[in-house]
Amino acid sequence: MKKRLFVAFMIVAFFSTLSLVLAPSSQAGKLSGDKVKIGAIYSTSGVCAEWGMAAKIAGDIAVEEINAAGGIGGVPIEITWYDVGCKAPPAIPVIQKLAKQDKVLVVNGPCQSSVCEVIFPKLNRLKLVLVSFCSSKPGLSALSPWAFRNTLTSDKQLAPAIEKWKKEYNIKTAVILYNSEDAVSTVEGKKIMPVLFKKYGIKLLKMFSFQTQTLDFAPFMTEIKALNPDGIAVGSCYEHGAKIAIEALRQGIKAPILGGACNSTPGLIEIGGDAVEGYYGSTAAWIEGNPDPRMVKFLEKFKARSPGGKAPPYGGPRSYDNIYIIKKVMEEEGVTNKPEDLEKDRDKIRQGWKKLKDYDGISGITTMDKNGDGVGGVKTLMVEGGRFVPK
Amino acid sequence: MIFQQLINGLMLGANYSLVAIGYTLIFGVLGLLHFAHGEVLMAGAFMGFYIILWTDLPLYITLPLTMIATGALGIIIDLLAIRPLRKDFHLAPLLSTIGVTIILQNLAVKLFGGYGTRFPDAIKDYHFKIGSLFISSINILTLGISIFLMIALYFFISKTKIGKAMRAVSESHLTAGLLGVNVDWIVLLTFGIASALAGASGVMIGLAFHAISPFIGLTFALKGLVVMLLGGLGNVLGAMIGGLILGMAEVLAIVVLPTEINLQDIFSFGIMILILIFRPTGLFGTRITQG
Repeated sequence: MKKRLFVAFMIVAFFSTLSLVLAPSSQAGKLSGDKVKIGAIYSTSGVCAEWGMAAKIAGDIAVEEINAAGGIGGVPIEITWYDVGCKAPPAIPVIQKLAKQDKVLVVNGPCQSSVCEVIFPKLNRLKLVLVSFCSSKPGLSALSPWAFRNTLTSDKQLAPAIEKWKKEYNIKTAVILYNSEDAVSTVEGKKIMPVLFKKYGIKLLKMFSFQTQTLDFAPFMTEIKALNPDGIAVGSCYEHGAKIAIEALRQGIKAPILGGACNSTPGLIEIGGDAVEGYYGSTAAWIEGNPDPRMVKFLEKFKARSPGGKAPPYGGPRSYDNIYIIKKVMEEEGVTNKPEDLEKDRDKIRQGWKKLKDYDGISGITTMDKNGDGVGGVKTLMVEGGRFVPK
Repeated sequence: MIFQQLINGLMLGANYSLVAIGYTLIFGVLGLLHFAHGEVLMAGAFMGFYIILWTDLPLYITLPLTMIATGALGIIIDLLAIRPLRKDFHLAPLLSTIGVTIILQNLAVKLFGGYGTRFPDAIKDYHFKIGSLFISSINILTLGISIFLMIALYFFISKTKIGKAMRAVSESHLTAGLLGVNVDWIVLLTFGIASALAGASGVMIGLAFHAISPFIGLTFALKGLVVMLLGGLGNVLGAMIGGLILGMAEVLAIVVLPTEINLQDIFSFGIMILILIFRPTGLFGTRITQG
């Protein structure tokens, strides 16, 4: 009898232990509620609309994929999104509404550094995590422990690019042209590039600044031609970079061009054509030409939805990755999604983002540094034969 | 190098002139600052873009087709957004044109994306070198077309019967009406012609500056305004010369002033302020004493 009892006890104990081992952990258990509310700031109007539209399309693709696979902890994601028109003032009431009225768990976005700069300090009071998908001005995430940027700041992107550019073309002298109206481009042109030039032994001949609405680069290139530099560094986004390259080609300037953080994006080749051959830059996401099947699949879905079937700038893949990282963080940190746990859940998401390490997304490997900025995954690219080639 | 910069200034100025003429025409006839004029230019750039892309038609057909399309757009804007408000508070039509600007720009973003788009190479771009000077065939063409359109418009206004009617309406709607001029029709025609010129500008700008986006209208709308003030409100010849002066001035700002701070716009808007202070009639305008 005792033996039977002992065997029965052992069987019960074995299966109990087994069930504990095999059962999904409480962290990955079913979330409560009928939807997981995630906020988003996508500027689909205004001068940065292409970045917001790309981020929205990419974010929507990720949400649809996740929901089709059962959502987060069995609960589908619902996105509440706002368009702030690339401007900081409307972003302030929007972030307050997302935090207090919409009661979202976390926010994907915004893109622009100038918007992040204004709303990041407000997060300390709201205690809500914001994860930008493309802001790259150095130092912004340090403004709040609730602010994260799943992207690479310009300094991290430009250092390897300038080093390789100098080596590739034997650059000894260079000029800098930058967009003085854009926060990131100004930092690139005025602060990062001159410092890196010094570090790598490139003599800076002259700096030129232009504005976002500048269309005609002919006068700038005439001035640059007279200086005869070995290279031209551009602190701006790809559209200006492409126009500068076209004008350089037109005026017979042979100096190779290096672009800032948002230059190595498909639009550069689309606008620049032959003129951007040899154009150097680095990016937070290698898009066109990337053989990673996940990126190929994403790009196919993205182009089917984007106006004109265009590929996104790097903010698109980063926005896509953001949604997947949010899912991962929520499941790993044991977010409950109960209304009474909102504050705790938001803090758990913050902790999850803080310790994010080696996340393998379509944009590359991402790890958060101590400030809440992404590190790793920087790709230096050169345009060769009408496509981006890693260097 | 300075001669090359003067050529650059001339090319840029020709584009400004073409935009400013449209502004000036509408201001002259209606006394209205048509803020949506820049967006009509943007619409023209995209219309030209799609005509070339879809039909592969040559530039000499694309350009008139675009001008007809933007002319029609201008007429629609007048009929829907300006005419119904013309007799209301005098600022109402002006505010309405700001509304049209916002609608057209956002519509373009939704339709074409906020992306910059490469304008198709409607003609082969040959590069000519004369000593150290360099001129591209596209620049010569855009300059030629701009000058041709400006001269054609000048003769149309000064020599034709309709042109005389337009001038009469610009003097006084009431008197012109009493003399048998169909004022509404002339206003509509003015919108059509000004918008057709804006459409031509859009195509020229696409060709000359390689890329277009839903946001190019604003730049040219503001510059067109400066040129109009520079040349004298409502003065077509003044707008032509004013555009060239502004283009030259902007280029010289890059040559002469420190380049680390962008002073081009400060320079152009500074000129506008100085003119408003010291010569409010513009360089070619005349003071009219009323009462």
